[in-house]
Amino acid sequence: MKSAFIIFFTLISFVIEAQSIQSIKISFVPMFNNQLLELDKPLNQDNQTISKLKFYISNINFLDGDQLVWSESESYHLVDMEDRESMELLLDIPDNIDVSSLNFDLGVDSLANVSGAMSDDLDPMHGMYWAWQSGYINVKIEGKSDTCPARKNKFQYHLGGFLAPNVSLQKVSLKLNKVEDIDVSIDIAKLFETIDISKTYEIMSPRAEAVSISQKIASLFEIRE
Amino acid sequence: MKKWYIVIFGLVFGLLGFLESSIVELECPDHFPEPLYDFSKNELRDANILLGKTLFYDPILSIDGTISCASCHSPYHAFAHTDHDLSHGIDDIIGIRNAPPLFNLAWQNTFMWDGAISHLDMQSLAPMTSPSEMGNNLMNIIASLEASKKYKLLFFESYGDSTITGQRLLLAMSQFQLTLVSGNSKYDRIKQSQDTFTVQEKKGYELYKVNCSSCHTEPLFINEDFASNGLSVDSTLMDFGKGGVTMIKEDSLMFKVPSLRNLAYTKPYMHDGRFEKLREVLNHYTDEVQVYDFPGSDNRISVNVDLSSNEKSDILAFLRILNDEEFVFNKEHRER
Ligand code: HEC
Ligand code: HEC
Repeated sequence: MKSAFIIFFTLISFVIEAQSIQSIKISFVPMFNNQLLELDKPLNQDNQTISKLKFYISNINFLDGDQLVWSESESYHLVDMEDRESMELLLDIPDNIDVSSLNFDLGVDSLANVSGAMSDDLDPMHGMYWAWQSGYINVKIEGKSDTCPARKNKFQYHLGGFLAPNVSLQKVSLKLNKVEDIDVSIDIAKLFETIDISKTYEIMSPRAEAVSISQKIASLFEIRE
Repeated sequence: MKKWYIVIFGLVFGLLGFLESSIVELECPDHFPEPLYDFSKNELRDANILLGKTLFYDPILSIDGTISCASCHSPYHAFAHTDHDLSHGIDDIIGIRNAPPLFNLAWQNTFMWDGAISHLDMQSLAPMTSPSEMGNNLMNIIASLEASKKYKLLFFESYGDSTITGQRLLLAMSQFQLTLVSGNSKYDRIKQSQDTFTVQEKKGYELYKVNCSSCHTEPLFINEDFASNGLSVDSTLMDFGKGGVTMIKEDSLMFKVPSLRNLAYTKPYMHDGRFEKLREVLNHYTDEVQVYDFPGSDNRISVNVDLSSNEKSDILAFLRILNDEEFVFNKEHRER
């Protein structure tokens, strides 16, 4: 009996093996006006710099039309410009599936927000969890600019919030027709075209502005040819 | 080759066996409801409770090594901070709120006076990082724990390896606090038919049921909700409670309903510690209820409560039987 089981499972594992898996890489590429973004480097005549860019990518999946063809389980990734490795996500995906879009969320879903202490990329030690008010920071952008009236000209956008009406999580959908290594760019300069740093320079809690800035950032994700 | 397998299996099963055997059941009085905390994600174990307790009493968590959780949550006061209306943190910076007692936390889903925290695991982050409390950050704390042989060992005993992560630290903090169950007051013994009310206590109980139980609901004497009990706003603090978190007008001046257990040990009372005595609290309910122009609800007291002086004494007699001496004098909960 026992050996029958063993043979059975061995066969099954062969079948699973046979459906071949390919490893693909999604690389996030922050840009500033079509140049690769570098941290702490002056970017314009206001001496604007970006010192921190961190965000959560979650719920990664591929659709074919509106049909779900693949989704990652336990899909939570903290992408941090200070940590090269975190900018590249490796996915193991079955070969030859038809796809028409890559989809993911910018931020962490509400369930993870209320599930207590989590591990790995969701571990609060990464500084992406608000201490005094429960909830993940979905996106953190910090830097300096001469136009910023705050102390040491520092601006800080900590964008999050999982309770209505200030839900900051955003859905991103990118068209593509083949599963292969993908570069996804985000041109941060376009974000600052819509923010007046002299007026909006500190967002540290869930609110309407956090939602609108998150929407803007979500619209900047683009597949780079 | 085969021998190795046996050794490894032996080790694995030995370890599993050890972990299995040390799982602890939360002692939960029969007349309490099911706990709200999800223990399946953080099973209580002796080693982890000990780790949590050690951390709770250790000023290593604060930036300058002067303040521990117990500095504000003293075991002798049902884990509240007495003699201070507002809590004191590092450099004697004064916070804006009265430190609440800690017990029966497994039956709570919202924390802090304004409900800003939605899970016990995440609660410890607030005092650890608040500049007016411990002024630290998680990475820094992990680094100091990493440098300590004692903690490397405690983490090893708790998790099977000595890696220290934010998650492990927070889960252990919860473990100790979850064991702080207060359910053995005279009231609890009466509920379990092991004791009886005196005439005055019984009168107080009936008055409580009419006037107080909608918010301070049995058997935990909380209702897991927010309410306004008609306190006037302290103009130096301008604390609007839940409204300050949600920015919704309806939530203005709503505070989490605190338990009525162990009041003898936890003075002063209310979110800003404005009352020193329980009789003052009752006088507030009968004479000083303030009504502000915020949208009303069942959870907002809008008229003075009608109680005679004798009736107040009866309620006080009832409140006294909610004091759980066994809990306050429990050596298990103290630093060794
Ligand atoms: C400087 C004093 C101080 C220190 C140190 C401190 N606390 Fe507190 N604690 C408070 C105050 C004040 C509140 C209420 C805060 C509020 O409502 O905004 C509180 C609230 C809490 C609550 C919520 C209780 C409830 O019923 O909502 C828990 C749990 C708690 N503290 C645990 C801890 C732990 C664990 C530590 C150590 C890591 C700690 N505290 C350190 C002052 C302190
Ligand atoms: C409408 C809900 C409501 C009712 C009814 C109510 N309370 Fe309260 N009670 C509260 C709230 C909310 C607080 C916390 C207020 C704050 O600090 O801002 C509180 C605080 C208290 C406190 C202070 C506890 C502490 O740890 O600081 C005591 C004691 C108390 N109530 C007793 C009573 C008694 C006795 C009655 C009945 C006569 C009563 N309450 C009726 C909502 C209520």
